[in-house]
Amino acid sequence: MKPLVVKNLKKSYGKFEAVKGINFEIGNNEIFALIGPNGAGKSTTLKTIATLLTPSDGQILVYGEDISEKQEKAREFISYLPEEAGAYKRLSGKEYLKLLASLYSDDDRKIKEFYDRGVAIANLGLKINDKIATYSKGMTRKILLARALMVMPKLAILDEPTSGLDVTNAIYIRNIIKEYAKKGMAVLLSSHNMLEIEYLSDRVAIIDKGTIYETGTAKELKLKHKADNLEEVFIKVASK
Amino acid sequence: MKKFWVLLKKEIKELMTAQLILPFVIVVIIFYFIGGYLQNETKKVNTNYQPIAIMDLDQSQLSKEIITFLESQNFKIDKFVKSNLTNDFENYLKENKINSGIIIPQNFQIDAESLRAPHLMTYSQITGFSLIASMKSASLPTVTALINNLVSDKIINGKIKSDNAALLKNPYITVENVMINNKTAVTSARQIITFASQQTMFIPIILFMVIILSAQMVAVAIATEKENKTLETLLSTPVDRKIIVSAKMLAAGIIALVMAAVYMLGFKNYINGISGGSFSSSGEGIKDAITQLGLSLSNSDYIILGIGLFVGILLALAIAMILGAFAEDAKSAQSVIAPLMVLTLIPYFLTLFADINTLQPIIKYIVYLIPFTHTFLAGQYLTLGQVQPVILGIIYQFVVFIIFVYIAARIFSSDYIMTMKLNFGKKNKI
Repeated sequence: MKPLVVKNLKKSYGKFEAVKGINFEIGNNEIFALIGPNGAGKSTTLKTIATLLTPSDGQILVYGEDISEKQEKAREFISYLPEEAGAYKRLSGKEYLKLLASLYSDDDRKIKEFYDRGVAIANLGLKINDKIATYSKGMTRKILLARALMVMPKLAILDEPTSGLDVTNAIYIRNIIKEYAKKGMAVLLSSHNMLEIEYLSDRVAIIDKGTIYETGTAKELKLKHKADNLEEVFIKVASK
Repeated sequence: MKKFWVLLKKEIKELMTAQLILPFVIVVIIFYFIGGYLQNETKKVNTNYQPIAIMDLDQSQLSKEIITFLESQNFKIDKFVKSNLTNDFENYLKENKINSGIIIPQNFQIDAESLRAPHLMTYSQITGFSLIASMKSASLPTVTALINNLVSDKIINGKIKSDNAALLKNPYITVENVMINNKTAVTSARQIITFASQQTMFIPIILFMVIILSAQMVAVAIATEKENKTLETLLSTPVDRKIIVSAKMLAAGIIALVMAAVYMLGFKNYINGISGGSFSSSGEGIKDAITQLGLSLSNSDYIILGIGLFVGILLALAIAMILGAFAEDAKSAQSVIAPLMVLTLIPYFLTLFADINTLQPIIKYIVYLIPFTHTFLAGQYLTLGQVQPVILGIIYQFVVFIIFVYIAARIFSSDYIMTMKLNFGKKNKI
């Protein structure tokens, strides 16, 4: 059973069609990236798959569960990291991880397992005991990523995971994503950073104006469009 | 269920900020100390601690009798004997900070007995316009009334050769009866109304506070989650949306109830202070009448009142959840709950100051359509022994609550919680 199957997904806000019927699938252990400009429909697609928005039409299956009919069941498989995510600033890093771990399981052992994994992923040392309000942007993003991955979701949905981070933190986060994908997690991510996408993803979909124009590995797309990098691929695809 | 308690704990922790607690604690402490201070000060004023200076220019039997009589009534009389001059008397009042003074003029007795209406001069020295300052010279009218009574009794007794002046001035005695529903008791209507008003005054104030406080907290809690970008994460977890909604509502309700209870303790102390302790003791003289008239609330009445309050708060929370979903941040959350404040203020003021049953029918029914009206009226109805309208009101509120909870649950289970905002014609942005 595939972690994610998206069939003819459409999403409208009133008269505006943000997503116009897209199709793609993600396999086990696969890192799949959506790339496109601002307003292309990436975040809308990710939010819809994360069950925050309701599809206007089409079907989304997460491990065979139709999210329109079984939202809560689907959420058990999913962990979502929004682009502009925040954490509860009055909690310390460890309190935050414990709280979110408790929302994913009622079993104390499982909660501890999630928490320990989260602390390891965050890699904040003693700062994990401090209030999140004292964290830098990089530290906050690390704790948020830790929250997203600590529960070992079957499908991790990461919207611009390294957005606004310095090189060191960005590299750290990319490596964590790659490491956890190897552990059995499927990852759906979006990014503007083409280099990051090339490094991280197994397959890529180019999306613009709510439509997916191309899908394939970075290598395939570069060959097809005779481009040196994904940026060139995108420019050539978008100009058509 | 475990997730509900985890979320409830988190919601309470989020709400218990220093910005919320500190000003509240300061206000309660101030109320407490001011109330205590006022109680002491009003006691001093009320128990004739304030001296009254008297300059007796008549030195007659009558004037001496007046002074002796006032002393026997426990007034603190300061006899000014240093001079016969008015200026000196006035200076004496100023220098010794005596707020009340009386000059009994020369020939007072002769003129009074000859019915020539002598002028008794009184002096009230006003040193301020506060409640305590104004009470310091408040005993003067009582003193002059006593003097008037004494002098008139003497004149009447002298003229008609009788010692029954009191009876001649008051030839009959009024026996007051109060009827409430089918019960009658011999007591003063004014005292009963004062007692009942004091009892029912607190209930609307507490209700109003709890409803508005808890609604504000819920709306701000949702708006803060949006502002801090924590809402999306929370909604994407495998927690039933109904649990998320319930935890937020219950956390706000608990904190609002505790704050209201503590606030009312401080406020009661403050009011007690202003009224010189008479607020809490107003029922003592008429206890039997209160029991006879059935004005004291029974245990079952308190249970019904509690249920009514609880349903009213739940309803406010459900409405606040919906309104809070419109807010983008904590600041705008304060303004989005304005409709709820209006729905609460109208019945609050009407129940305090008016008799709703005397309103024009169409207005009366509109007021009854507002669910919170029944919450505010419950105390009055129960005090009057009318249980049925209270029960009907609770049922009506509960039905409205179910409708609003359904709407709130739908909003939280759909796109609306993410996309809804008061945008005044601007496009929604995701």
